[in-house]
Amino acid sequence: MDWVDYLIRSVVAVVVFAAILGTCTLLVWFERRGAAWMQVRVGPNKAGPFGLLQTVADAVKLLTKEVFVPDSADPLVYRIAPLLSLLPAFLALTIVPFGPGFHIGDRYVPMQIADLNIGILWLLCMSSIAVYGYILAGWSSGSKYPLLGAVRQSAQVISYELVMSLAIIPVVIWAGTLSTSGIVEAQSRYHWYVVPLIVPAIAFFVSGIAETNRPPFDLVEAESELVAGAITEYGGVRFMMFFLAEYTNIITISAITTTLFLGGWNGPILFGTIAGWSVVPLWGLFWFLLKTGVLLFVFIWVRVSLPRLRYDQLMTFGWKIMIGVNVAVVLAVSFVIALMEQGALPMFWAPPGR
Amino acid sequence: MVGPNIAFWIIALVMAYAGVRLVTTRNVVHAALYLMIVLAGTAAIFLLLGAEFLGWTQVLVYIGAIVVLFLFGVMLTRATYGESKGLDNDQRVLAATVAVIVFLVFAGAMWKAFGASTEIVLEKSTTVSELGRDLMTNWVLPFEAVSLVLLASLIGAITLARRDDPEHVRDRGVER
Amino acid sequence: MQLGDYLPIAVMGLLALIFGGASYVLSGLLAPRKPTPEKLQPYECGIVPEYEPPQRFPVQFYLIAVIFIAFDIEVIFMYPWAVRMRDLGMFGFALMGSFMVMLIVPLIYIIREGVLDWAPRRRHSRDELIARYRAEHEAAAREEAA
Repeated sequence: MDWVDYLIRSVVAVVVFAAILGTCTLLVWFERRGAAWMQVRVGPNKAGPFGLLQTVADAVKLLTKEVFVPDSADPLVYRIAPLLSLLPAFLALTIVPFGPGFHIGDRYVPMQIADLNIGILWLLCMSSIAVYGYILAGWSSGSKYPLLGAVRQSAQVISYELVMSLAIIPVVIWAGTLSTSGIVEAQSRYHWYVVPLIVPAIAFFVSGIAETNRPPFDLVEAESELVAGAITEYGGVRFMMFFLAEYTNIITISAITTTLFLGGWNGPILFGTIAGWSVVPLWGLFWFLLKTGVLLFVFIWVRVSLPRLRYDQLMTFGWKIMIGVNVAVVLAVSFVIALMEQGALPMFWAPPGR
Repeated sequence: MVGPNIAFWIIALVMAYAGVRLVTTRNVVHAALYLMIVLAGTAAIFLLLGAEFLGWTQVLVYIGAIVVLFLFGVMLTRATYGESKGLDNDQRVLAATVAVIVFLVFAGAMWKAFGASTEIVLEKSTTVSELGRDLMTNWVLPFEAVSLVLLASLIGAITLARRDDPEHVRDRGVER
Repeated sequence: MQLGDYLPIAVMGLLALIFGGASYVLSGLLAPRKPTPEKLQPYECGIVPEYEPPQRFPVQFYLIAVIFIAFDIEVIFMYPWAVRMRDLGMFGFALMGSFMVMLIVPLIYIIREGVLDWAPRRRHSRDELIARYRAEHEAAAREEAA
């Protein structure tokens, strides 16, 4: 690794950053337009073709709205909180391998910003730091609704964070590594982990929905019934930061679910080269984007279809059902792996990681 | 190895500043945020020393859980804004004595272990795999003891916080 | 591990911060600024807010955070074990099994203590209520017939 390699990875980071912003714009549009389609409404259709520019128009509107700090607020923390929410949202995506790397000349170009040995731990760290955006926003607003919303929201997020970290453990046992690229590679040799690990896969995705405070777990925001939770006192550009962080988190959860359970960029191999050019990287990227796109669709679909939970149902579901089931799954998976390593069970689904 | 040494001094200075502000600030939530900076600095130093897993575990457990608990505690009892009184008391001499003793113990331990060496041992970084092997072979007993400690702490926390007035015990769980 | 691995991550973080900062600046240039005393008051559905500062919260939130810390640490200990699970075999399973008992037992204790019950517990099950309603209904029907 010399400075050119770091430069290449930094360029990848810039590209990914732009791609996230673009995807967020599309996602917000699709959330409104797609929800309208599912509910037999028209949805936004004025700005641009099919209303595609609606999000851009919204962004411009939010930028030109007056921003002010409420009298009772803590001014500095109130201003920093939206950025503290935005930062971990973008950082969490850095460990996702978007496709197989390729060579330009003798330089290796990875389709991943950082291939950390402890990739999954990094992901958990970022999701645990994301709580601060909400807590500090709620506290610094100096008003009772945001504070109440912040405490409820962070209790929800930390509960489901536990579920999430438990649901990843079977994957780590199966793959024998914490590196995301290693996990994808292990899946390219044998099978996608969703096949043997369907229960943790569902648990991970559901807790991801809860982590991002999306319906049906969005009871803290509950637009039509309550005030907007921790971000009640926010408007204009600061609100936009929270909004962007939420949608980035949705993309992160979909991308990570794809990476851990749906084989990452692996797809059926149809062709290796076209006219002498290796198309494997593009083909991998295509499959990654396809799977992530399907999961993003599921996010919207779930939102349109399911009614909101009650707070006690949320906590009961998280602590009693999800944690109980996932603890049992971790024990069962480790037992099965132990049997396979002893030769008592055939190594059909769990060939050695090394 | 000049780079890591410079990085260490920057981190150390930031941590020291945050530590001083932590005890001098008049706002409880600001104090918690300064504590967060100190803990993040510790994690960064772990990273400098090549202990990647330990560093990020520090972030996950201390910043992601323990400071959150502090903030919860502050909000649940007195979520005051601006400066709050009663954060100071007259035991500064005692506190200073304890601080000096703790410093001497740590400094002594460091000196005994490393002497005057300023070499940073980056190339000996520990992987998670090695950590797991050591944890499961050499350190099995402490590993199992940790679970007992956590068990005790959990039960203690619940016992402290649950309501146990006689009326409540009679129909426990009904009125919550 | 090399510290350079974190350089592209730092680039990403910097981009996010620059984007946020640029948006703040842009909004500062574009947005109007006309604060009024009413506007600067905390939100209270359009009326003048009364109860400040905020009241206390149920201790349950604090308990959730305490329980979370303990369980979080246990889960963190599982990660190095999970990476080595294939080499450890049955020994590893037994080791983690005994470790997990310490996670399962308090979880059951917590549930039994009612720490995780947020809503009033139902005094009667759904079937009981249906049976009672049916009995009342039948009694009323008999009375009417008599």
